[in-house]
Amino acid sequence: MKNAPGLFLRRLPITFIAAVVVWLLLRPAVEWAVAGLAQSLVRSFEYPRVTRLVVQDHHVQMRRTDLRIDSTVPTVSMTEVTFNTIVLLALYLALPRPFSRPQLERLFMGWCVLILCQCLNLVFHVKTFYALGLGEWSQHHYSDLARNVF
Amino acid sequence: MNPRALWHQPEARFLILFLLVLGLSFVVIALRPVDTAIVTPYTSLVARISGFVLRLLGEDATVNGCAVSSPRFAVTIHNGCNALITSLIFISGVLAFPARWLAKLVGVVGGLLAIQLMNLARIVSLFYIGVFLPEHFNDAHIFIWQSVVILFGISLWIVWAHFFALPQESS
Repeated sequence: MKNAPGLFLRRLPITFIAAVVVWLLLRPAVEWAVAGLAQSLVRSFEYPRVTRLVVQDHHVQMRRTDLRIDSTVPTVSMTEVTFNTIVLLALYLALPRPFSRPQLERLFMGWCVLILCQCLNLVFHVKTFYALGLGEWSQHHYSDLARNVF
Repeated sequence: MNPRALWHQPEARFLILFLLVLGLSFVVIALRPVDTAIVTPYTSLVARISGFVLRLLGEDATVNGCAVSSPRFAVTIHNGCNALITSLIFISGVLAFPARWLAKLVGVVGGLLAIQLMNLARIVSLFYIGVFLPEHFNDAHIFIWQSVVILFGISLWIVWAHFFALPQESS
């Protein structure tokens, strides 16, 4: 175990490439899960429930059922939200015995926490847009404090 | 769970301190006066250094604020592209780790310099990716280089903790 950090660091460039490949393969599923969870979270705090987050071409569209049909639909890049999965996977794969059961359990727990963070990140993107990007509507529905927080 | 018992576990204490320092530093850099007085001038400095390096490489680069432009391509260095966040993650890790203050000082100074050098390589390479492979610029910018810089910061922290912070075994 004496040279464990050295071994870990030597593995890291290779595991980074592997992590990019895995992320590219899993990206649609991750984006769908994060957007779905974020939509549930946003809608659970709004009345009426009008927000719809639709993933299209690696971007999430912030659709509201109360907006006019011809309104511009704001989007957020899901790549920026989910790319940190690469970091998690690269670090994980560089650990000793990454496919042992205890390590896979740790990966599962870590990935769940990461998805929750990505989901909160997306929720903040949406709320920031609502608080700052909709002119008078934003000023009417969000306090100065809320706008500063977002 | 008893918070006092948690605090006496080294791993838990490191995690708590790390998250505290990180959270505090992120809040501080998000404040508008700090942004105006420190973050924006710092980002401009990064842009000027990048412009200088590009001129050394023969590019006709000019710098205007945080934008580096040449007849061939232009990049604007935003807040997330100045390596400040990676530096703060690294510094939080160094400060939270149980080590002598001298070791922490070495870690902070050396780490910041190394991360800035890495970021400089990133900006220059992105400039040339923009020139020669513009269709891959977004991928290289968002998920390749951001991941590489974060992994570099973590690797640097591991090297620091192993060689400078942890007591060395006597032969």
